[in-house]
Amino acid sequence: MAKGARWLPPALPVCLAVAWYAVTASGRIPAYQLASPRLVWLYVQQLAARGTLWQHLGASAERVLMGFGIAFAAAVLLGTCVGLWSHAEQLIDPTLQAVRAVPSLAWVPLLLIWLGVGELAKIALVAIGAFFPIYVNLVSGIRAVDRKLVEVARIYGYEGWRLAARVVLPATLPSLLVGARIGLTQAWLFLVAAELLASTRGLGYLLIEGQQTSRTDEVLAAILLLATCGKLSEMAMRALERRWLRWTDGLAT
Amino acid sequence: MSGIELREVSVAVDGRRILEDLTFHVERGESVAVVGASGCGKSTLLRAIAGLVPIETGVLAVDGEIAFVFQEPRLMPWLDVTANVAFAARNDAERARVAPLIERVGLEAAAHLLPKQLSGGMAQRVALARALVRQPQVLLLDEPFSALDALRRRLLQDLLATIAAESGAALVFVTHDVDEALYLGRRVLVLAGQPTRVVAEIAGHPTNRDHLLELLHTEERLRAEAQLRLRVV
Repeated sequence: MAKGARWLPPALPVCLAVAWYAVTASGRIPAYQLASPRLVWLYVQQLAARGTLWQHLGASAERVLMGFGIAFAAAVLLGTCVGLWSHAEQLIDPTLQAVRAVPSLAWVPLLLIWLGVGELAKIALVAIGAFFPIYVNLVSGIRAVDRKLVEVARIYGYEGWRLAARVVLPATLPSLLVGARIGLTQAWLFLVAAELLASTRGLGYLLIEGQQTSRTDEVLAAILLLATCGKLSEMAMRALERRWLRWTDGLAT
Repeated sequence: MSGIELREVSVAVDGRRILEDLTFHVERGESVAVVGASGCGKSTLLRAIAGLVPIETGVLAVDGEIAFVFQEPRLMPWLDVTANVAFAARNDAERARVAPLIERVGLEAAAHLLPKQLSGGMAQRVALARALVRQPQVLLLDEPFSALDALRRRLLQDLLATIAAESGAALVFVTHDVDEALYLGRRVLVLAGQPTRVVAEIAGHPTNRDHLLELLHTEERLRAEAQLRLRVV
């Protein structure tokens, strides 16, 4: 990004907010259809004052982190096996690709039957959503590792897990981090799906409650909170990428 | 004492015989250039000596530690210069040589730069330093300077010549540059034929330039004619 363009990223949200304010202030749209920014802000303040804001945010963040953590561990384990050993690839990859073709929400009925309406089903759905981007990027990253570098390492006697740790893992890190970033975004997406179905806490619950009580301020507050959470987690992942991938020779460095 | 000894060595890759009946030896402290038409198996010869490609028949004896320098520097992009040189170190004694070697190739000011911050010549110096960490008795170089401009090539050729003389290693390098072959090599082996054999051995002296060029040109012409015949058939 060019240095002089710092004001560009916030420009569009600010314009949208101003337009939103102007539309609601004109009085042409009633508040039960579109709450004004002020009402939404008041609602968030109310939630915060009652202490329930942190409960909802905390519940959602916990589900995302748990689901993402499980997905990350499973994807690294399976992706490494599939990427490094052709037997594992032949055994596991076709099945995973088939599972991946299933729209992930199709798992919801099964998850509810097996795991009930508790935390486990929600975390499982988040994990399913986050798993595939990490897995797919990791496998293609391992396949793209420069054979010439591996050859150099072999000449110097690197084999087995030392080869994996000193050459394959660092060379794969860029794609793994991209996968993790997309996976984390997916995790937030699936969190809402899970919370819309059955929950008593969380940002998805606020959406449902707002819809049922026709409170657009509550719905909009939940949407804005989700956007903020998603943006914050994406920024965190990008910060990690900047920190660990200074060596890459891309345009963005 | 021979550093490298080949007796009637032949090498096949994917079932096709590439090199046949190669017999030569390289003494410690001696440097031998290998020239020949592109695609004739020069690189395969180096890789066979390094043990990267198995030999089919014959005897191949290599005495001591082997180091390999490729046409491209092949540095680990996530490691800085020091860590890249240290990549070859197995123990503290070899790690202790890393800093002096970086100084020896003239990169002490760049010790903490990443490969993406290096020029082609600097990167190849790092590769050279990495190859020397284990004090190899055999140094194999596959067109190591072909990607560099004339000035940098000459600088690195001189650096390689001094370092090789200091270390007393047997040096075998593949090149397509006749002047480089005669400048760095005490002997020049000319590879030709199908499968490839050693068709001539020339003393590495500038006065042999015309002779060597003529040999190579004849060989290129024969190859081109053979390929043409193949296409007509």
